[in-house]
Amino acid sequence: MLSTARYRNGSPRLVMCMAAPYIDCPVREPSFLAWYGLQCAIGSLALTEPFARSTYEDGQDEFEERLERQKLTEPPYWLADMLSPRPIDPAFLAAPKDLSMPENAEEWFTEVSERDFLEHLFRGGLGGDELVIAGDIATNCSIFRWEVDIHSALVSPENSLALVRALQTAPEPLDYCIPYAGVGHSSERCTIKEPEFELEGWIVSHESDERIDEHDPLNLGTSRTRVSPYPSPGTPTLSEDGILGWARTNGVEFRYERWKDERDRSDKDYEGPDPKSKGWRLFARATEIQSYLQATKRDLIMEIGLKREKGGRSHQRYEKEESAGVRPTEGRFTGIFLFRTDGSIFTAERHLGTWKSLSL
Amino acid sequence: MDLSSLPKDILELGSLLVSEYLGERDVDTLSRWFLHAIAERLADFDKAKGQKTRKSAQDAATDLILRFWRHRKATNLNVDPLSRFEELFKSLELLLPKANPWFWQRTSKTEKLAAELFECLSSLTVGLMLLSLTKPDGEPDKRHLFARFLPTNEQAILDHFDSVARDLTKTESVHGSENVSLESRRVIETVQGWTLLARTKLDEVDQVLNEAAAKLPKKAGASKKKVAKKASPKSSDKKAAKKKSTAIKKRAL
Repeated sequence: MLSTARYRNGSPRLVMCMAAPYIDCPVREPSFLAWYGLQCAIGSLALTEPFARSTYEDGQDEFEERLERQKLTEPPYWLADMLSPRPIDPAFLAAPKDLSMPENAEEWFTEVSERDFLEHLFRGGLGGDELVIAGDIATNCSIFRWEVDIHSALVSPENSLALVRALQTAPEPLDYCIPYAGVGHSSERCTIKEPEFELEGWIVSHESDERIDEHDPLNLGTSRTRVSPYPSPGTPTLSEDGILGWARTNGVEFRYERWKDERDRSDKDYEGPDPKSKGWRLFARATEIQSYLQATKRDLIMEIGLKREKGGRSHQRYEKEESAGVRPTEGRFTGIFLFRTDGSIFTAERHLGTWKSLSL
Repeated sequence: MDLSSLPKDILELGSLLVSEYLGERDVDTLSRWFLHAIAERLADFDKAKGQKTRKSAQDAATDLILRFWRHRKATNLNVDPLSRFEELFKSLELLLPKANPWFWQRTSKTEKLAAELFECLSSLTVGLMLLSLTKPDGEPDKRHLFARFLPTNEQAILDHFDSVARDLTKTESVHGSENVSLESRRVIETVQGWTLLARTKLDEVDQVLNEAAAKLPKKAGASKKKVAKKASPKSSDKKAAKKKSTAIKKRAL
């Protein structure tokens, strides 16, 4: 049960929140703990005292419905338990040369290499044996910031290279989309089912309302699992390092990791000199993916979006942009890569080698 | 047209499609994908050596080009030569008897008049749409090539509308000259005919309304006047129409 002191410090409001849906529920850290404590107390009380029963117009039990919203996002795990340490990929440690030098800034904002993209596609860096098939990663500090997002889909091999060229030469990445699988807007809008011109998702995207563990201060503000394999191989299991793993499906064991160096600040961005990182990735062994592609007679198309910016306070960045005149202060790049069933990797321009041996 | 007997022309069509539409910005991923695949097949054909290999590359290219051509109506890329007449075709539906809300109900004088007026104004709208057609896009050679790959019925429609559009756009600068074809004259005369008929029908509507207004109590006079003013024509023979309308009003009163 709650102590009297704690009860005086705000629990009446919590009780009202539970009872009256029109009162905002507490979300700040101290309130979260009190809120969680109150739930434990009500749980104990419920063992001995019956609740008044009330139903909505459609007959649904009000308590059950409200209780559902107070459960964990992905039971039986708390989001905080699914946080992993920051991966040690070389790409996460890379920093641009001194951006105060115009030539360095010019280079960082306008030039990107195949290596810059591919380093993000192999977990652990180039030469790694695990392929990242979806992800969203961001790093920032007072000097620079960058963001990477990764999407992938299955494509019929007859014209897969033509698709790579069609997407890579699109004037705007918003002109096309890589589909997710399952039911949803992305699948309906982006899937293509023309014979020999088939593009289909193979992972499913998730979104849901906030649950109680999203306000847990220990999760550092990390998000729920954004994607998972399709069709669903069932509930994932959590390993000690915070990585989720699904049962092997179609010969592939998919895994998901998320990390966040620190909690977001409510009033301002992080401005320190040490780069801070956050992100999530879905990945699997390259050999397993290749076997799967061979079995399904599909190639894998990958899209990587890379955005580079100067670090520092937002208003300072804008001031610098104005004073910089025509000099670029931001770089946005998109790379399209094709992983073929025979183990080769292609861009719109050339053959890069194989999954195991790249010639960059 | 037997498309299978024209591989060279099909390859030419493919080259033209690639050169005309590959660089265009569009959200139609499938069409862009097709065009890149066609470009690949054409490049394979150019590189192919030996009769057998060339034949195989040619077949692959022509198959894909014709497949995309069949897809032309679904693409956003404006590939279909008839797409510029799309609005006109839609408006032609207005002329179908079933589009007339009074088609099955012409028992009273007013309903009969309403049916005739609807028919008259919808025909006039289509006629005006014909007059607002723009010049055909692209160079004549390219248009000709595209047109050759249309089914015969679509080809005939395209020829007809193209000729009308070409001549009607010419009338803006050389109206009345001998350059204007008989077909265009016929269109203009038809539109003029519908305009005249529309005026007559509007006068008849005016008359019907005045008759109805005359049967109302005296206070309704202001309203009657407003309706008569609104319905009066604003054309060159406005005066004549007004005179006629006044005469009708007097008679009714």
